[in-house]
Amino acid sequence: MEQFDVLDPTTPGDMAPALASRIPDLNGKIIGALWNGRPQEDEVLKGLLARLEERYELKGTRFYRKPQLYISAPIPLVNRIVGECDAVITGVGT
Amino acid sequence: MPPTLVSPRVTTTARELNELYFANGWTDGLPVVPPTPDVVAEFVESTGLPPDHVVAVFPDRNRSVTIEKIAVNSVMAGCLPQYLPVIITAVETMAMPEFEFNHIACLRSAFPHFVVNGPIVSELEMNTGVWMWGSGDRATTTISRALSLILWNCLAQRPGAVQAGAFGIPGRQSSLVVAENEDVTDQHGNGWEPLHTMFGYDATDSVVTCVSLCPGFGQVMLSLEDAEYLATAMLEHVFASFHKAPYLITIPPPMARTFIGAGWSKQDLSDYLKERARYSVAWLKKSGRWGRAAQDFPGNRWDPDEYRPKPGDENEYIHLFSKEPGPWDLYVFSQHELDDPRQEIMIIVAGGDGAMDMAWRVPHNGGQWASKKIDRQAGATATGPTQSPEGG
Repeated sequence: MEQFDVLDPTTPGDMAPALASRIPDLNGKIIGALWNGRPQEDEVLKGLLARLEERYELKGTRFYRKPQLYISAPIPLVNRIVGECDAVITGVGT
Repeated sequence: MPPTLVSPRVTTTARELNELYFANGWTDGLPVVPPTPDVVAEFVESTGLPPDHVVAVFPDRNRSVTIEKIAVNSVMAGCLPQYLPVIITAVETMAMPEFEFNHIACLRSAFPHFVVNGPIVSELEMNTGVWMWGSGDRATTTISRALSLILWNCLAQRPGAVQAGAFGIPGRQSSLVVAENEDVTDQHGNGWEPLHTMFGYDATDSVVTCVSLCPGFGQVMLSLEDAEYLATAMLEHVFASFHKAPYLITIPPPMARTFIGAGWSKQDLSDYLKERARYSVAWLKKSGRWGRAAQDFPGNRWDPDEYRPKPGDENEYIHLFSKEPGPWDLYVFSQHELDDPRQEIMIIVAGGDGAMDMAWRVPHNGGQWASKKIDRQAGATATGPTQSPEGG
């Protein structure tokens, strides 16, 4: 049977994921948590912050909430987090 | 000189082609037309753009979509090159900020749908009549398939990737695209304003409008004699999902003539519905719509007492599109919905000319209407398909 070429239709992740720079030492840092609004996720995030406070000498913690589950956090909220925290924890998913 | 394509090539045979695409996860569940390099190059050339031209960037997916990938997936779908301007514009609308692309990963199976308006509808012979939501004509069906494949292959909208919707969209591969019948008039020759003019475009523009819809499809048969009766009946049916969201209502030609003949514009009908769409607190509690935004309850937890109808609830109403905040709003809507003023009811005329039924789709509150004029240059040089399995 005759052979022929076809093309791959997929788009790889051609924009490299932009990971935030890592923090070598959490001591003395302000750590935030961004809750997407899904019930119970707040419990998980607050538990994580509590664990971090047990383990490190944090300067403080902050807790934020996205206004809607399934859309990206508004830029003003992102800027606020950037201004108030050294690092932030959030979950992904829907 | 043909454009230089960068997509990886795989050698196959007519017998093995679809097994290859299924095995690689490159198709949305249906067989494909082979995207051979020569046919894809022809599609790319028809746009007058280089293959690496970025049509749209989707930061939420770490992806950008190029002309080449649109061409590959459009060939796979069985499109004609003349369809590319619609497909390219549709991809652009999905990337517009108002569409909030990321919301279509949600559990409610929201998915982009597209309304096409303007002269291009007749030029491409898009079906606006009988069976229009079910497709069957080449243009709307294969353009829908191309967009399904682009979402699948280029934007990770597939189960196992980011697609988390519980039920999925019936007709994902065939019925994402509909076209409006702009030629309906009453006995005096008066017509109705096409959808794209409601977004500020000229009637002579060709426009793609993107809207997020959920799986649900509602339909009801109504008597056609009186416009206000029809509008009142719509209030009983269309808004039962009770989301602050973009609503798309499909009205068949005979029903449109009733409104036109009574002097109602589309905007009049939309305004009438927005002013009156409401349900009682008792109904919302009984129907399960109460407490949807449970995280906004005091204490953020389910409280059974909050869901039991109380005396007087039947006389308390929540207006779906009210601009005035009410005491109960956060028991039904999320703060985001309350803060977003862009929800609109839009109406298209389409369907069989004997129809007495109107139809509506369950909306999603994640994204808003996103419209864009079609660039008529893209695809303007297309002459027709030369697809064959051995074409490469």
